[in-house]
Amino acid sequence: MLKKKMIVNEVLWQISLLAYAGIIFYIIVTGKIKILLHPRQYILMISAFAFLLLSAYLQFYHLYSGRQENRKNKSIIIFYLPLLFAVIGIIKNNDSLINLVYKQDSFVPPVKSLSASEGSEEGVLKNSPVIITKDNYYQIYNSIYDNIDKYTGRNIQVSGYIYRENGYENDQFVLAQDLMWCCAADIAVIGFFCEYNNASEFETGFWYELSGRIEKSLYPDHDTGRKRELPSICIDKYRKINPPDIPCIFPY
Amino acid sequence: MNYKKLVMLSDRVILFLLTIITLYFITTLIKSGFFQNKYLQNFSVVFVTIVLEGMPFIIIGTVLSSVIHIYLSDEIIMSFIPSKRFYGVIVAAFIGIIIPVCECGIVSVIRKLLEKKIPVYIAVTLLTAMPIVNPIVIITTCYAFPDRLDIVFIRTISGLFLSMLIGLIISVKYKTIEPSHFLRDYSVMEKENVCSCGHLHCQNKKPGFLDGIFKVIEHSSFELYVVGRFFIMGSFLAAFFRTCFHENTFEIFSENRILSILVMMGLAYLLSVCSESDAFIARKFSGIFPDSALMGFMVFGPMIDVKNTIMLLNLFKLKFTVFLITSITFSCFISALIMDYYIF
Repeated sequence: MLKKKMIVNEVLWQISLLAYAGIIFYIIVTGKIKILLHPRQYILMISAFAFLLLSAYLQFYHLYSGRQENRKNKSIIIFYLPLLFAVIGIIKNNDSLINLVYKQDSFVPPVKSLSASEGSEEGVLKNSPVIITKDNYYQIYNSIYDNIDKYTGRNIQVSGYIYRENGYENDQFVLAQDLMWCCAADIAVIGFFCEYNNASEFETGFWYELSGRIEKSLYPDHDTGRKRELPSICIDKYRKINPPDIPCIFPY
Repeated sequence: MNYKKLVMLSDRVILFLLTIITLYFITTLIKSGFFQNKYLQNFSVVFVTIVLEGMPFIIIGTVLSSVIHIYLSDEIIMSFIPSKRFYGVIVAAFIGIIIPVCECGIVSVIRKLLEKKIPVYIAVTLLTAMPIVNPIVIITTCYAFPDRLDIVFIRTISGLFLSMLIGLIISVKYKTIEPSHFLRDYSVMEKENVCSCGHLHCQNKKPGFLDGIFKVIEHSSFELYVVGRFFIMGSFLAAFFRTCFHENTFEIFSENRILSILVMMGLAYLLSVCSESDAFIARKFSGIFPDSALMGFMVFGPMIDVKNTIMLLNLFKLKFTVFLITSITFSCFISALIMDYYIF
């Protein structure tokens, strides 16, 4: 009776090893890994996949021997908990990839950092249009919020998706990007306020590329409600674009 | 006899009924579209991502602990540890600088080292130092604060110093007490030449290269089973806290310096952010919370958090775990206060 229980545990452990390898394989093959984990994790996930497969194979030698004497047979169920949630949140989720990402925060404009250097405009030539790409987004984003006066009046070209929150004026929205620090659990919304008379032309959640001029505007602070000077984009031209393959930007 | 049979039969009937009820409950939930609930899906994504993100680091920890188990004898390990406690904690704290193991993987490493009879204060010093002073964490902190190398420096130095201090506190408190007083499975660990996975001990003859790799993986698989359960439970709690509390909610405490340190330490504990990315979260709070509170977040979080607590409860007895967490909390809080007054 005792031996039989041991074997059941070994089989359950082998199945869970295979299932975790399967989940990793699934997110890699479907591309969902791109919005769930930071690129530096990819190689680690592939290594984990190889380890799990090899462990599951070696587990065959223990199916009949009942190796793990001190296993409490019921606690193995815990390993199936993340698998159940993976089915609910990742596999059975019918939403598009971008909606699958959980956003931890609402959009909160950054506070000027105490150490903000006066002219940290690496990659941007003085007085030329500020062209923001995926690679320099976070750097220039911080630079603009830290040195609003220096950037005011300059032309800018930037892309992102339209983000709106309750309390925004009718002609206001944020051209946002999702910033991933480490994984989907800590994604933050960052971006620039935009003002446009026919703001309703911009559909929430869709991707646009805008060009316009950087201006200074007063916006109510997210927490205190007091008005605060923030950079905003006065739009000249815009066009709808397809969402990028990797709908996140990475700070490093 | 008849009574025993009756009890066994009733147990089986109850189990059968419970299975039927559970299956019925799950089927009803699926039909009602409960699993399409947005909040549940969000929680699922956060929970699964925390598990997936941490899994490679848990595996690194288990592989390292298996290598220690298979290739390093008790004598070899003990020969590295100075006999004097003070020098012992210094060596243990500095070992972290060369070994890239974060807080998820460290528990299985120290579990193995304790099996090899290293003193508990050395294990605690390793536990608290490694997640802060390891090279990957130092590099990511540099990325997060490229214009504030003082923060990188202070974080590393205070991590080293505090881990030594905590190691010394433990060494004073548990100087003469037998390991069985603070280790949960000491009786299993104590068995000579029998590994906790039931293997014959491998120390007597060293395996060949390929054989060694297979043995390491087999043993790591068992270690993964041991620590993985608690890692999953901890991740579940961390996911719960991350979906319930928004970081911005706590900004109202930023005016008071002492409160802000406590709040940031509390956040670090509950959110259980990996030490390799917590500097970026701290960066978000830069300018809102004082630098001393950021240091509280970046030093306390890697040393202890919800995930780690649950994993440690499996290794140490409750009383020891509570004492350890209290020591870490007080040391980190006081050091953050000192930084607030004298450095920042």
